[in-house]
Amino acid sequence: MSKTILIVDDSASIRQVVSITLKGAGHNVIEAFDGKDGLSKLDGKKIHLIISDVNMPNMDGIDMVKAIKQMPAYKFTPIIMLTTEGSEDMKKQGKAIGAKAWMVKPFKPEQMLQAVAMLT
Amino acid sequence: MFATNHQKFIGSFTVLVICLLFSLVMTEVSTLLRVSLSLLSLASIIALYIFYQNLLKEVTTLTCETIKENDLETEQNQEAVAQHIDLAHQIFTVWAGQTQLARSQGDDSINQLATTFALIRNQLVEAIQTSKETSGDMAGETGLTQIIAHADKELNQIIKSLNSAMSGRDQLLDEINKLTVIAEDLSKMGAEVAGIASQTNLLALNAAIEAARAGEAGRGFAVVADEVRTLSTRSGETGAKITQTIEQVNATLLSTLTKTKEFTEQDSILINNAEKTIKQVVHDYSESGNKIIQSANQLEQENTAVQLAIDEVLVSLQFQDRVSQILGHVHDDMLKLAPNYQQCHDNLCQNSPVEPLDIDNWLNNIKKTYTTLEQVAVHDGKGQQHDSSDEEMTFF
Repeated sequence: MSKTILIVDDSASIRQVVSITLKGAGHNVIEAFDGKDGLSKLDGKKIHLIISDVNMPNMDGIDMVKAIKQMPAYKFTPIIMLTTEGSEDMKKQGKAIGAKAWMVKPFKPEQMLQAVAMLT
Repeated sequence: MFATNHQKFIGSFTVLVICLLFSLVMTEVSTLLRVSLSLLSLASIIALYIFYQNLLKEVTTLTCETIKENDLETEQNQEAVAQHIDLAHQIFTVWAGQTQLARSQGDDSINQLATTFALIRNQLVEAIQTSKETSGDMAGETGLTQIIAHADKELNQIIKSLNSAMSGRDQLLDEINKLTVIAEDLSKMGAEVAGIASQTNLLALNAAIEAARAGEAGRGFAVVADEVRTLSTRSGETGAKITQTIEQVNATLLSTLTKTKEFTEQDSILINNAEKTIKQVVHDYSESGNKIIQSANQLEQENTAVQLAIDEVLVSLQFQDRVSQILGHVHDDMLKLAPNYQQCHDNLCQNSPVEPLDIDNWLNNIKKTYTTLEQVAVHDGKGQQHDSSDEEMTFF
């Protein structure tokens, strides 16, 4: 079944790869280039999943997720952190703010689709 | 030079002290001698004082010169160090700019590359989908294969119908043959009728002769005999006409039979040729259809392989994000370090003390900014290490 997924990443190439992967599986994709843009793109829409980078300009992924978790409409929206950060400390931080999964770049498309299927 | 003058000064001072001690001792011996010695001592003191003054002057001169030279060297060193530090400050700023330029150009190029590959991939997906639909249609109920099979079936049905028509024509020929036989029978019967009429005529003639011989009594019989002769003549004529007509019918039937046989043979050849042609055409179309389907399937397989290769390329292009972040950290570190050199340079130029640097703290702060375990490994001098945990996905 088609899902609507928000991708937040300052790297256009990463957004491209994620977008192609998800659209290829029949999902709808909304793209945002940083945390602030990600919050503005929510705009009351029905979002089934959020995939976000951590290190971004203006507002990073951690702060964005914290802000999203304060919104009643998106409080329970599953979030995957997609980042180059691979340390256990960062993963713990991701878990603490309410993310459902931590994926380290570069990712494999089938891995991404499995995660999407599990969380939506 | 300073050490040599210092030794001369100590030597002169020692001689002066010895002379004073000697004069004091001699004072105790005799006044004259004491006066003489006093004068001598005074002279010695004066001489020593003059020597000392000269020596002091010389030492002072030499010391000043030395200090001046040392000051000059120190000043020159300070200026050189300041220049080096200034260069470091400026070069860090330049390097930061160049790194940022490389990062920016790399980002733009890789993003463009990713966009282009994404476009190619999408076009391939559409091509594969179209090919699947086409080859699927070809192999499906409304596809080319089915159309050809249907045409083959219909055309074979027509051939059967034509053969059936040919069979009907053979039956017709049989019937015509039968008619010919009947006509021949009728012809024989006509001939028999003519023969009977001839005999009847002859019989009537004999009856007329016998009637004439009987005279008046046979007159009525003579009339009957004439009538019988007339009827037999007419019967003979009718029998002859029947025979003639039947012969005409028979000739027509034979002609029809011959032409029908000819047409049947021609039609049979035509039907056989048509059947062969239809089979050949259907076979050719079927073969072409299969080739098209095979070609479409092969194209689909190759497109799928290309699509998978592009997917691999797109995954590889994700490393751009890592490279960009590493370059970003180097850029930020350079800009962070540059003002430090500026401050150091300014302090040196103003002869102000330069604050000591906590190198470990600096390196630790830089290390904290790393986002990948590989960066940490390189920072720690462990070289480029690929962390397998990077490929894992963690669910919370």
